[in-house]
Amino acid sequence: MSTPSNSLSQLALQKFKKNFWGVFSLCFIIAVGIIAVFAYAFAPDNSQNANQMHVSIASKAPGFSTTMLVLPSQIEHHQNFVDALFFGEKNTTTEIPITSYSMTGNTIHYMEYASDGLIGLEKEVQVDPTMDPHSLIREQRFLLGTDKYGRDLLSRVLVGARISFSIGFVAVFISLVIGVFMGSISGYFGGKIDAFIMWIINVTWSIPTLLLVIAITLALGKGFWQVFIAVGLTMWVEVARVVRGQIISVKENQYVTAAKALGFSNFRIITKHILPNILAPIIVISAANFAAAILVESGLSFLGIGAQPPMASWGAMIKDHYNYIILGKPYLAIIPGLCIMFLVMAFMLVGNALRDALDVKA
Amino acid sequence: MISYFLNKTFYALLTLFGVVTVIFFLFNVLPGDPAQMMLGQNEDSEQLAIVKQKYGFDKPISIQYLYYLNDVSPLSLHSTSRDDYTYLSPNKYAAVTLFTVGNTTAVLKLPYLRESFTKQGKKVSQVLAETLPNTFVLAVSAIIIALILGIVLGVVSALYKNTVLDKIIQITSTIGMSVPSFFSAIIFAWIFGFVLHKYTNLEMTGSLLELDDFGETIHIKWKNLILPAIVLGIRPLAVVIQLMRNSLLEVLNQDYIRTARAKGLSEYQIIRKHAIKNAMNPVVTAISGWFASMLAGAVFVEYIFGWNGLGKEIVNALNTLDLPVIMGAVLIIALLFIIINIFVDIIYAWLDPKVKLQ
Repeated sequence: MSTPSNSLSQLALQKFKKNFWGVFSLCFIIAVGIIAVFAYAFAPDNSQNANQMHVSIASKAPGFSTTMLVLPSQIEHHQNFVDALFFGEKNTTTEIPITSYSMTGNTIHYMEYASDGLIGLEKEVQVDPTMDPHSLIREQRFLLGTDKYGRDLLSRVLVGARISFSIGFVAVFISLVIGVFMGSISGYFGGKIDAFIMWIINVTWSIPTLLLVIAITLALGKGFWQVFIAVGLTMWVEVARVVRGQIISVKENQYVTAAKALGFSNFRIITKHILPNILAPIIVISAANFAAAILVESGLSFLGIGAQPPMASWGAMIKDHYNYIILGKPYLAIIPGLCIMFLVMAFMLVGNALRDALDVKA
Repeated sequence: MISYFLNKTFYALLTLFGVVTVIFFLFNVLPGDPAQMMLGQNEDSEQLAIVKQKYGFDKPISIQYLYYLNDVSPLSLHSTSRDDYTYLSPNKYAAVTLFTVGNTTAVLKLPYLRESFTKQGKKVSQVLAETLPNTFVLAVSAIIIALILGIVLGVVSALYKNTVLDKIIQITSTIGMSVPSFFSAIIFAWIFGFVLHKYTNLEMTGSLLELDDFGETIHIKWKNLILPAIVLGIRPLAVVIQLMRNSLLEVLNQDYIRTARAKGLSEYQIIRKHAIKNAMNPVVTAISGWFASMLAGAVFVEYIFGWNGLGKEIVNALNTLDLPVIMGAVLIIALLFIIINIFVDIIYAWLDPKVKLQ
């Protein structure tokens, strides 16, 4: 059993490797995945949710740079390195964009940054005598500019990759668990169970995904986890349909009859004999579902019922900034939009490549 | 044929019953108190009690569920007593009485989808009747665009398989499937309604029916349809291109095409008369399925373009938590989806007698 299936998957792997766009997309997905996991290590602004706001430098163009006065935070949070790496720094310093400064002893006189030719306020601050006041001044560059709250757009985009990625994983996982279970028993046992499950499938199918997700999120409350569950709960239908169809087509095969004749339990026949043989279409539909989940999440966040602020989500970033598109700052909405597009496209291309490699009919 | 039709209809009703149940329970496990949502800020306990009684919110959820089923069912039972929730009030129900037994009346009526929470006293059915036609116009236009362009591009792509032209069409189609519709709507509105406004003369937002500058007469502005219809058509277009290409490639390998070639028909005639006709089948199936989901997909497009359709209404209702409107909208879209599917099944059965035997 294991030798031929092994060579089959090797064959598929060889075929997949030949597909340039498939391999390219897979590399892209892995790269984005690494960025998503280590977002805070890559992001210039590693505060939690990349939420360091500077109102005076709101919506500045990409490449904008300013002198920044960085005052250490007053409250001490105890946070270990791992926690900070994966969830962002809780110890946020106070960052003040300034235009000029001078120092006398341990007092810094500075002029706050003011945009559009206005003159900023002149202020001064006392620094802890043990510190070198020069170490508090630094030049900060915003590669992609700042958003409407003056947050670093690049950091928001990097951290936002997390939501898109995790929604994909969670939704695909939930949809696989429910879908494979429902599809298997429906296809394998047939009869009344099949009719009942088909009825549930048809009911779920009749309600458009977006509206069903909206209804479920209304029932569960707004937020991040609710959306995950809602998307998973709507996507299982496609998995179940595929699994059911596949099982119906293979269950008359001799290897299934042989397993039955050997007296194996139905559970064993389904999990050990049938499922490995219908894995290919399940893999292909999972890749498609991953892409679809990212799209649905971005739509919900755009409507304001997905991830709630200050969490960074690409859909919500577009929602926040699409008004700026006619104010000469279209990149604020276009950058997150392109991120969604490329990630979804990568998953679709990988899905197509897998379909060709595994020889699954669409 | 008739029994086939009846079977399908019965199953559709069963599915619809499931949809109503799912919708009702999803919307009734909400943490908020619906009576309070309706009254908004000016809540006082007496008013709250009146509203609760009027809408049946004071009853246990199982009774409320039965009330809801009774409300949406075209065949329903009503009480003759004024205090009951099911009292046959002419304000609520547009009904024809069938018969009365004791103090219960059986009626045939239009489904009653209740009243909007926020637009006081306005029936949900009226809200739907006002907005659905606009969405319908939009969806039909989008489908037409997608079909025509999709078939042409799909055929070109298949005929020039593996050339640069094919690759470009393929990439464009993949991009079309990957772009979130709200994003493409924003980009199209910006480019064609703002940046190129001088040349296109299109607006960023606008609906089909607009008041003129004096606010007196209502004009139909077909111009405003162009951008939303194109944007809404992007995704089905991408799908049609792929389907048409793959199906035409498959058809071109069939024996009857070889026969046609052997007969000495020109390549153009083979494609036009023999290949395309047969390659259309999967496209037609897909499009009928797409139509209903377009009604839902219109949510973002209508919202961005300010098109006064069902989708925009759903977003508004979502922001004001106007639950009856959302419930009504979901129900009507599911109903349309089910009806369209019956039609597709019946057309198939009519075209292909083998289907009936199954």
